[in-house]
Amino acid sequence: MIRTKQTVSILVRMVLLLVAVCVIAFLLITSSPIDPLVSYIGTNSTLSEEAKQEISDYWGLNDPLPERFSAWATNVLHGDFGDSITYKKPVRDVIWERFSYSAVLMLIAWTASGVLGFLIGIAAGMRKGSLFDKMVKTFCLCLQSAPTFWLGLLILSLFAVTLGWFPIGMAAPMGKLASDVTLGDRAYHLVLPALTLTIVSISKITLYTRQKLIETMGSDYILFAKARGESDRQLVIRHVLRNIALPAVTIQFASFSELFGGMALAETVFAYPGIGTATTAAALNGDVPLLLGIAIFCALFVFSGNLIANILYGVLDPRVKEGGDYV
Amino acid sequence: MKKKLALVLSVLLMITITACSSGAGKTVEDTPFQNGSAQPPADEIVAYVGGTIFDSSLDPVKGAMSYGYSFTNCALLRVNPDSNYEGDMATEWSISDDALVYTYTLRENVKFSDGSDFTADDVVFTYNTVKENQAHNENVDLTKLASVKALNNYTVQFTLSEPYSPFLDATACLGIVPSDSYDSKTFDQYPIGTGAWIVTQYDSNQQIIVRANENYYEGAPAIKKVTFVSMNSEAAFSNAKSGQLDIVMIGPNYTAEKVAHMTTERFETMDIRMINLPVLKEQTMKNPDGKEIKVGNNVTSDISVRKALAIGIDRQTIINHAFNGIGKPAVSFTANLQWANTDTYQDNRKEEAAALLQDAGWVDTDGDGIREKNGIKCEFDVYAPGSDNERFLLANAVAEDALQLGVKINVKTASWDEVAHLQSNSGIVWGWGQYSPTVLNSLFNSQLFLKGAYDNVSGYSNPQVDADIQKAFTSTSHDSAIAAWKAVQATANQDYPYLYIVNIEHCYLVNDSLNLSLDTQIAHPHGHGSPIICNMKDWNYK
Repeated sequence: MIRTKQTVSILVRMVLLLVAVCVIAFLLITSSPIDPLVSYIGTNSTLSEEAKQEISDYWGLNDPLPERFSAWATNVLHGDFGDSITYKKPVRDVIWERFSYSAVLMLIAWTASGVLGFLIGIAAGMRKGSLFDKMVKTFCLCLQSAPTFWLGLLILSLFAVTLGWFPIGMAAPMGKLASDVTLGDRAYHLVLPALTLTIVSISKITLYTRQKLIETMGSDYILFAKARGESDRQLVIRHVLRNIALPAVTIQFASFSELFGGMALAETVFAYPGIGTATTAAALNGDVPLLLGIAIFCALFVFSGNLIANILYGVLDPRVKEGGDYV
Repeated sequence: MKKKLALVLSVLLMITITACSSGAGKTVEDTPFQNGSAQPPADEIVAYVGGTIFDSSLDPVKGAMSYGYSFTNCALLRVNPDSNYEGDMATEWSISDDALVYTYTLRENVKFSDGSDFTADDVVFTYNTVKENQAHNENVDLTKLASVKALNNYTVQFTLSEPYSPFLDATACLGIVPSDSYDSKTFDQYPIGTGAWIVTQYDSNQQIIVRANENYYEGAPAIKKVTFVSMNSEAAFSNAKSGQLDIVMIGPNYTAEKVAHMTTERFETMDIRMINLPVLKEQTMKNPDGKEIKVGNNVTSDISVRKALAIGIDRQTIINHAFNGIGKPAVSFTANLQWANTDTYQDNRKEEAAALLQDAGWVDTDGDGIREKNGIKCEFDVYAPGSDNERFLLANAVAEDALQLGVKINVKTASWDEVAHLQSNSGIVWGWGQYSPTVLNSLFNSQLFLKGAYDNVSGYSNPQVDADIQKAFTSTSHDSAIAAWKAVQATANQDYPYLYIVNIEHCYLVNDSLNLSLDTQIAHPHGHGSPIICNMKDWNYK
């Protein structure tokens, strides 16, 4: 019974969120100085007035705003997100095609940064004040403020241009037909972008884990456990891990949104054909249907990230679950 | 200790990756041009020609590759190296005396890349489809086409609703698609045409791989496979340095860089950079939507300021400063266009320009080096649109030179969308260049002020020019149309609504073993990148 209620409440919230995202995104885009006709025909068009008129009429560019929104929203409800101006393909196809590339990249970077960040955070926290701890801290603080594209360019120029170990971009070798592209090729091309994204998103989780570990180690029950003669190792495994896992999980799932932002930059640097490059292209070309589609997709993606985090709370700390309010 | 650990880790990583890729069947032959050895395999090349070809559909019905760059679909006509039209899928054409009926005789025994025959039905189908779906095609304007019919298998007749001389250009831009296998879904990436190339793979924003069409009517190209890659220009340049690309589009400021096994080639263009100078006095006007817009500029509305700039700036010095000396000084559209006005004049006449300003009342009274008149400083804003660094450099070089005349130009940047709100009262650095003279209508037609998106931004209005434009459109012969277009420019250029600066040159790094057939290259239209592939069928190895 409680479960049903919760599920309904989650669904209602999601729908409200999506509606809000749609309305706000639509208003923002239409009030921006982007002229949809110009972004469609290009800045060097010498089309006749009649042809321009036909284009405007076809795309409904002269209709009042509420009418345009409702036309768009009706189509979206029927599963039709319109055609991307940039790619001349249905928005749904573009997002799906691009996301299949990005998903792999994101999954690797997200897992690697989560696991590594958590472990490094614990290691640094255990040796608080040591040289290692100081190095980790400085490194993380620097990374926290370093822009993704800059880091990407550094990695690119070192590993790809100077050393020549890795390809300079793309998701497959140049000139190779899709049927000949092996899994190895794909992995080879993933290394640099995945490395960049991992490094970029590792610092937050490391710093939080380290801080939380230090806090927990200073608490009374740890003191009591120490008095019983438990070793540091035992302390961490028996008492600390669970406590520091919660913030780590929150941060890691909440970072879905940041991952998206980082992706856009990393993919642009590495010419990786994911959703990030599609977003950049859409924004630069004033591709309104694609921008709206991506906005909705991002909202869904981030929402599910947070939802998973909430559900995992219950798993990690049953007290949260008993309260029944894990959403 | 840590260093050692890092070393061990990276070595391990390397081993895993190498093992991974070699285990997956990667042989040395698969990556023959890695690291320095720029010798490409016998019959394939990899090229970076910018993002333009990835930015639009390859389907001619949806406006593929404007200005006739399509490598997959031939149009009825094409532009030859002398910028004249010549037959491609048509062998000859004639225009009726009332300029309303265009009759084309088609080439026989041509096959589409799917093996079907090319006939008049395909032409009729293509034109009708575009006409019905004009909203999907932003490059070929068929609104003046009334009807098209096949007189027999190899003769097509177009009837226009009114005389419209640029129709000839439309027939040079619209590639023909097969009537029985046209598919609007697959043609975006895998079009079927009669062109020299067939797309074998299209990875959005990544690469387009094309192979030579063995049945191409002029004979299969010598190069059998070309890969176009999509990346940003810095990454492309890095790739060129590491020897992975055979052709790389570069900006003029990269031309001094040395890359092993590659030479910088410069190509003649019909691509002009110019700054509009608003001719109206400052005022508010209503656009057709009823929105009030600030138009005009009190400084540039004075013809003596416009003329002083045109004759007084030193274009060659500006080009040296902004473009590393690459490009030709221009005071009008380029001489390599049939319809261009070839009247020219000497620039860098600093003293004459100064005297002109002095006589018009622009005098520097407060000694700051900038002239004034009735309390207004002789200064105005010039915007370099978008993130186009070259236009920004150009604007700066112009400003520096104009300062010697006592005219201050404030260089600013704006996005293209902002430009639309600034263009009627400020200078913008524009780039134009195409075969079709319709650009002159866009630039000078008084009716288009505040109507067309980027049309007649200077607010120019001259009944004589409007009449000549009308005359050019309705001309019954190609020659009289050209004469009228020349007259349009001769009149309009005397009012200096645009400050022409440079006829740019497109620069590419080209692998030394590659021959791009310079004799059959046409002067490149606007759009650095794609024009180079117009004659890709004629490329070969030295």
